[in-house]
Amino acid sequence: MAPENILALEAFNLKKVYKRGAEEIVAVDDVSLSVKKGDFVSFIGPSGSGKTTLINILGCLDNATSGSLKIGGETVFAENKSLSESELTRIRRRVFGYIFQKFYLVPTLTVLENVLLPFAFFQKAEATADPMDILTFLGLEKRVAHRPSELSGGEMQRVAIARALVNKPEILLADEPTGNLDSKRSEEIGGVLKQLNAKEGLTVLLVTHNPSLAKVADRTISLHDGRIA
Amino acid sequence: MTKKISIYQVAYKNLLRKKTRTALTILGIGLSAWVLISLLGFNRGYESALNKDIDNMGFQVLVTAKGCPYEAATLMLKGGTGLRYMKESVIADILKHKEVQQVTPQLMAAVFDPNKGESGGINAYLGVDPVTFPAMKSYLKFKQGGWFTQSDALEAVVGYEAAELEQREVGDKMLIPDKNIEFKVVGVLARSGTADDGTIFMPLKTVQKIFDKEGLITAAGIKVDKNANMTELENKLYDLPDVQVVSMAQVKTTIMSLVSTAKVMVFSIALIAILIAMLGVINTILMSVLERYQEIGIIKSMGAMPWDVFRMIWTETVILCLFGGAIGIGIAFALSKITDVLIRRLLPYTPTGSLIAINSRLGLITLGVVLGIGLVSGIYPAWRAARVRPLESIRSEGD
Amino acid sequence: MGTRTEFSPESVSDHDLRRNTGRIPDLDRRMKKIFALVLAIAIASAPLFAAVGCDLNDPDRDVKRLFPESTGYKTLYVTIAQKGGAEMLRRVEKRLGDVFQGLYETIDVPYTMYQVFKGKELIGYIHGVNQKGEFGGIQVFLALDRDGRIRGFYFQKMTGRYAKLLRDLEFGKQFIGLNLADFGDYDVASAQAKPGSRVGAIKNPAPQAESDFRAALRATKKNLILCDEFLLGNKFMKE
Repeated sequence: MAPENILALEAFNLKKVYKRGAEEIVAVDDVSLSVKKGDFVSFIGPSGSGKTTLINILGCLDNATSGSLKIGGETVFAENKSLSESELTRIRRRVFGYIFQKFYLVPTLTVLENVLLPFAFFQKAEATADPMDILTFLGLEKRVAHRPSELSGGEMQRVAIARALVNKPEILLADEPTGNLDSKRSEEIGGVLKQLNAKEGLTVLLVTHNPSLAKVADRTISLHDGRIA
Repeated sequence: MTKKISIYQVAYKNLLRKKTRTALTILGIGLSAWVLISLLGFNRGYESALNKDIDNMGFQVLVTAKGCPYEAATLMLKGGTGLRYMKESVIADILKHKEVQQVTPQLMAAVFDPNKGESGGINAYLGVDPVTFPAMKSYLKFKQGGWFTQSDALEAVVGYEAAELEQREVGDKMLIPDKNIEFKVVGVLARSGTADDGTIFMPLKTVQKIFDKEGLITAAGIKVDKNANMTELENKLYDLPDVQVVSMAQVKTTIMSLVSTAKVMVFSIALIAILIAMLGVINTILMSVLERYQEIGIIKSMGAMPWDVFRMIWTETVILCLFGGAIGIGIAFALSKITDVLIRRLLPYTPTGSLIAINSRLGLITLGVVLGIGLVSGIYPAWRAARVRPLESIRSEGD
Repeated sequence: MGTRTEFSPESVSDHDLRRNTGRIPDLDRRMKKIFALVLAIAIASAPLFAAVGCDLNDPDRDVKRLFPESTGYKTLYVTIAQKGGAEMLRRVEKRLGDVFQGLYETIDVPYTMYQVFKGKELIGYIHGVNQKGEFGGIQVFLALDRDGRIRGFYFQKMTGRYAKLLRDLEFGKQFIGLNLADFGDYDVASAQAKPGSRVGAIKNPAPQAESDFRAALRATKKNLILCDEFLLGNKFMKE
């Protein structure tokens, strides 16, 4: 594992351009930033500010049009270099865990099975974490045999979090995780993320348009029109 | 609690999401599998039963007098008239050919019996040579008694059905109406499943004498040497005056070729049925892939490689085909008796013996075919699923 | 029975290609003829083998003939083996005064029994038995009223020189009004009837066919016994 203060993530001059018909849309415009291991960074901005696009690039869900990205000191992609889907997948497996606004749980699997799902595809050698520990940590130990349809919104998001953590990711990416939750549940999730960061030392990148949630992070980056404001 | 979940479990549970749709798709595959295996079984059964019937003729070539209705039933249809005769000396001529192993002469005779049926009918008697005939039809077994004691005795060997009809056993008398001649039953044959069951056999000389046909016969059955050229022999036989040559082997070949044409047609139908079912499979899986786009994206974000997704979707196809195939084959086995009865009603000529001969080998073949086509048709939906980029499927607010 | 067929050659009498050209005649045309022949055989052989279980040749017609007042009938198929097994067979043989013998008189022979109805009312029965005759099979059919009394007698089948005499309607009339009680003293084995009994009064119109005459009487008694056992609940059985 990387020693303290190694940069978990470093981005240089990231640019993302979409073509829509004849039009060219610059979603991310020359963004550079760095994230230390154990950081909790929130990205805030209005709709269309490019925060989701940015976080997708940082999280290796998408390629940038130009710029470079280093993760844990290793260059992931650099000038004009695009990674294939398989290569991106390999990085994702190793480094990231994701949670989204829609929980995307598999309805026919139980809570425990949903959490175990990543293991069907990939299991890190070091990932000896007992899924039950994670579930207990998140207060779900009594719900392990239930199906998603029997859970509340907050519980479902917590299952998604457990699933994201089961392979011991280095960085947790949360894209609008409370978008589908009421304020009480949103607070709960915020608290969970804070705990994970504080107790487990998990690096967290959070995208939200909710200012009070953004405050939970150590650092907030504002985006406007694809640039850091 | 299991500490691990496999792709196959996930695939299986995916199918349970839309139970009705899954069930209907499986049913479709099951029906086409049933059609396929029934057709395979029919092909096998019909062919072997046909072979058995033809082989049971006893002789490979039959020479008859020109214009002679050989079969007893035709005789009855014609009202007992129309018999034509050959000279018995033709036997010697036939034996001259080196390809001929043995010849047996036959004389068919008929009388009108006023007491038969509602308003009278034809009684037919087949005069056979006690020396050569039993040897050629060695498969004929006796229920009671045996062949004639003398070559000109007033004796008869009766086929099982004919005997049962008249309640005849060894030692009983029978009467030739019109000629008013009594004769004795010396043998009752066991059921053979051929027309011999309905025949009354008498010594050739006896029939010739009773019916004033000394020196004449209606047919000669020829056993051909195994290595002989059948066509050549037939050509030579045609040179005999006033005879008609029918080759059982040719009959068999012609029938078999007719049957193979039918077979090709029948298998085309089966194949079409399967393809239609497979389209159903592709449609079902494809629809479920499109419905699960976002989920597939998430799975990719969890670390699933394209090959993992491909495998998962492919597994769903395989599961559908296995279940469908198994059900179809199971139904076929259960209903094979009923299908047999149905087919006998429909076809004019059905050989004896089981018509639908399904066995486990055919079952495995059918399962293999269904599975194979399933694997092929599963490729496209699985490929579509594997190609999904996480981003395409995950859309959140803004952007 | 029915579809028992075989391939049979058939001459193509008006077709003489080979004579002129030395070639083997057109197989396809012959094949069509063979198939037509095969079809004909299948049809022709069906009635040949239909009678073995001793059914009426044409039930619709025959029931109406025997019971002109009837409106319908029901057909039952029974065997001694199914109904009462070996014990029943022994009882039947005792009542008959003769044992079941030969290839065709066995415990599992199927018997066809017809129940005749007028509207919903049961008005009588019809049953036929196979019996060995001198030259062939004999089928004796009885039409009984509800109480088991004979109201019709005829031979559906009989072979022999004098069959015509026995099949004459006058012969059958002698049986009308008789029931199983009348046959009780008739000894089948010796063909002796009690002097003065109604069975004893039955005349044989064909003395040269004495054995067939006796066979007919045995068949009649057996017929009545089977009807008593299967249809009338043994009401004629003496203890």
